[in-house]
Amino acid sequence: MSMKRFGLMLIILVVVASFSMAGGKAEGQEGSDTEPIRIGASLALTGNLGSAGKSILLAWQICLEDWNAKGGVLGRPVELVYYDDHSNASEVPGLYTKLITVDKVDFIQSPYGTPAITAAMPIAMEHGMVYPGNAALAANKEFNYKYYFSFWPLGPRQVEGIADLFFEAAMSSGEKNLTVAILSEDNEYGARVSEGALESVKKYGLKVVYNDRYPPSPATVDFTPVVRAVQNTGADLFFVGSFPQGTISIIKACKEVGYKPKLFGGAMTGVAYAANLTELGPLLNGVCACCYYVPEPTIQFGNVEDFLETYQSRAAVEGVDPLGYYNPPWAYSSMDTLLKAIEATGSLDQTVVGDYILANGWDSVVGKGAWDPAGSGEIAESRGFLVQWRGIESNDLSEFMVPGKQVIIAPEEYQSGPMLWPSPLFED
Amino acid sequence: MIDVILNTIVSGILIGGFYAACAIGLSISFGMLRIPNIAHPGFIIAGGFLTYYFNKTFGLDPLLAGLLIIPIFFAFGFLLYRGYNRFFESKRDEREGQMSALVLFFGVLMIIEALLSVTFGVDFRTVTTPWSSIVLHFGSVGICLRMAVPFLCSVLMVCILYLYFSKTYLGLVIQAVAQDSMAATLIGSDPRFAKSIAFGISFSTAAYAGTLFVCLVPVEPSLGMQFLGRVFSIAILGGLGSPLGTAVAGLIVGITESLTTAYIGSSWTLAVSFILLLIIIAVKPTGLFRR
Amino acid sequence: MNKLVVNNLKASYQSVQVLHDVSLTLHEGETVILLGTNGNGKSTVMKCIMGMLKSCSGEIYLERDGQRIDLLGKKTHDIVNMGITLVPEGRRLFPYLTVKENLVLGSYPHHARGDVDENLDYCYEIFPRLKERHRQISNTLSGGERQMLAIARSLMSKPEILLIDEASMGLAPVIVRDVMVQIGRLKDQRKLSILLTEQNFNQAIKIADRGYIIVHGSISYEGKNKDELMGNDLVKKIFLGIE
Repeated sequence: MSMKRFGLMLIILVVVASFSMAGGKAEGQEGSDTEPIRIGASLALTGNLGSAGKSILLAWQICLEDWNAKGGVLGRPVELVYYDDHSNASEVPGLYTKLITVDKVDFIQSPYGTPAITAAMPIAMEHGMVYPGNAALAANKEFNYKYYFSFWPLGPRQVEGIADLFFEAAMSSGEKNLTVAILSEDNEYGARVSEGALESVKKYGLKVVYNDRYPPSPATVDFTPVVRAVQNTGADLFFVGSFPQGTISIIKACKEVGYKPKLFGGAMTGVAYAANLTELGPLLNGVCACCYYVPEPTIQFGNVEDFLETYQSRAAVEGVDPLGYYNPPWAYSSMDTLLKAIEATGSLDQTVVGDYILANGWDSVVGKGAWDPAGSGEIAESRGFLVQWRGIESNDLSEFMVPGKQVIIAPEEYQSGPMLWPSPLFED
Repeated sequence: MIDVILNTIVSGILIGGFYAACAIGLSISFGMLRIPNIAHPGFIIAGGFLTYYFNKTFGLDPLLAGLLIIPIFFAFGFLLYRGYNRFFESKRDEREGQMSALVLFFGVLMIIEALLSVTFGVDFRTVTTPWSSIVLHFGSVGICLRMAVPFLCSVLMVCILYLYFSKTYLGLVIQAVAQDSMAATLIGSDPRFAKSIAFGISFSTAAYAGTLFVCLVPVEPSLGMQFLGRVFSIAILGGLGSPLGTAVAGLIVGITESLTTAYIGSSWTLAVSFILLLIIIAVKPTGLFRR
Repeated sequence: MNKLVVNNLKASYQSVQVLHDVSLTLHEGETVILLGTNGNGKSTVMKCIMGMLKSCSGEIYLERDGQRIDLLGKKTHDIVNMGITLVPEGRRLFPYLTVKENLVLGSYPHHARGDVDENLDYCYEIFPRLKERHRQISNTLSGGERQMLAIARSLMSKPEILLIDEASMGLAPVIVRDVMVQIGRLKDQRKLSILLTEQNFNQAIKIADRGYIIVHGSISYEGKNKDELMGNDLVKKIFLGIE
């Protein structure tokens, strides 16, 4: 290889590398006399989970700014050291090893999503690090790690609990002999959702007439054939466990083939993101999905409104999800709870801080609560609820920022309006 | 019962047409020019995002916005080939050139994804038009325009390309260059120019396929990487370098997927279409339409 | 009088010099044969004239209406556009295109496009076999048909100067005769100047006005007319097997 060619290859490699590896960034207060406390994490900032990862990053940044404005933790500024894992769980273990052994961060936060969180769990355990989790489904099931704390509102029943909410709502209609179609994405999430749905269906004595999984996006571009297959079974209840692209496409496909089950939705993710809500607009009318925050009067979680106000003003500028209903409050709470524990114990020792969090539970903008006594690392009681959209007239974001359009129909303690039965699907 | 079959096949045809639009540019660049442009799906997604941008900013109909971005992509493809020719093609033997080109285009694919993430964010984006939600009924067959319009545009694209490559001087020259570059110079053509045009055309089809993509389903930056396998297999199945072959291959894959979803179960969709691909390649290694 | 002149041409492949000193002239309306056995540099001369070989030096120019136009250093496609074309060794058809597509492509130079139909008719007239097979894919043709197509394709560009490299290579004797007869007719009908490289002396001499013999990259003999060529000792020795 001549020098010229070699040089060219080198330039290409450097350009590629600089984009793909986007090195660790540290941020926080500069020019401070005291050494900062450093929190490390990898996040999905690009790739298919990037949308969530970026909103989590913003929530953490807001949290650190809040603490630093108050004078930091233990009188020291707090700094975030983070890497982009490109939504690729296989990159995660390496990044956490690097964070702990090379960057020598004081504490870690988990990456985003079940696969990534599970991937870094052994690293956290090996180094005995406190491991606050950000949005995973039962990541601790195989590990039973004492210092894993899942900041996610589903509780010990996890996604299986979503199915309970859905079928409970359907049963409350009083109608008998309802038939059920279950469709979920062919991944870990979808598998769990389907499993939960089958259990739930058995509990309520319903009949399953369709149960299948579709290949994850983008393998499935056109959902009309699968929805038509479901329609052909004439199922009354259409329970769906989908990731965002599937959610949007399945809703559209239902409308297009004219399938109107009596209750439709369930564990469809992505319906908390502004981009998807505005994309669907009136198509959401009558659709049901599990949410963790909506601006309904029955939702009184800590000071989440104040947080969302700050978040929304910042998100618009940074081009991150402008609503922040999904991950950000819990991501903020995850970071906040960790920092509070450090401050309260006055220690940087993982065991001390971990034991404190274990004993004192979680306490932040999403309110406070204990951990699952069974030791799963999940919160003790589910905070998820089922929303049924109604009265959406346009694709404007403001539709989703006022009460009365995303009505909570289950469970009872958060219910903010009656369930519409059968669902007036897609009606303006 | 017959209704379901009909509807399923119609769905398959509609999505198959779109697949063809995605793969046809690769069939040109990889099949005719022997440039392994694995960044092709990345450019499709980029086309989708630009269409989205023009639609959201200026309120343009996406199909029109797509036409506007074609010249941009054409010029980019044209110039990119010049660079590729200068630094890769003219200096190496073909195999070595293709290997380093793979590295190059893989890098390009990642750069596109990164640029899109930075510019547009990583959310799913889609374009909704007044016609997207219209469903036409022909007897028991329902056809939604969200699927049918991209299909018709794809068919039009394939027809235009077919006519271009078989009826115009430059189109024929591009084929000639692909078959025997030296002989092509002896009929007075400049192979470098012809290939630049062809690469520009390949990029233009990527742009418009992106337009159709963003009309069909939500799109996000990393989709390009994930869509790579399907686009390549359809291009190969069709017989590289044949617009009609690509169209037929797209339809075959579309209909197979659709029928599998409806009658075997959607979890089998990918497996069945890849088995079909393997069988066809085993029986006819050059793809369906390669002469 | 228009002419094509090659003067003191030297050429090499990598470090091996294959042409040492080649000078020849092709006048308007002439058919000139360049004789030589394999590996003596006949094809290299053709390639140099067509600008297909970078490493050649010397002089190659056209004299047209009293003006001198240098060819050396020009790109092949530019040279073709000046009305010079080559029927290459091995024919080099576009294998997956039809006969007609191959022919139409021949008329790619701008000055030929206007007359494409007229030229097609002409080609079909002199090679009726091509008309019969105009929809056939060219790599399914027989050897003779391919050679006809290659010549016809080059005629489609309305050349003034036609270079034919090894027209008879790989063809049966009876077909070689046919091809030679056609080439001879072409010259008369189209006022072409033809430079023909050949190993097959007996056939080529029938249509030649003059000829050169190339040995080891140099012109070793120039025959001013048929008789001179026929009587030359070198010709007798190399091509006719007469000692």
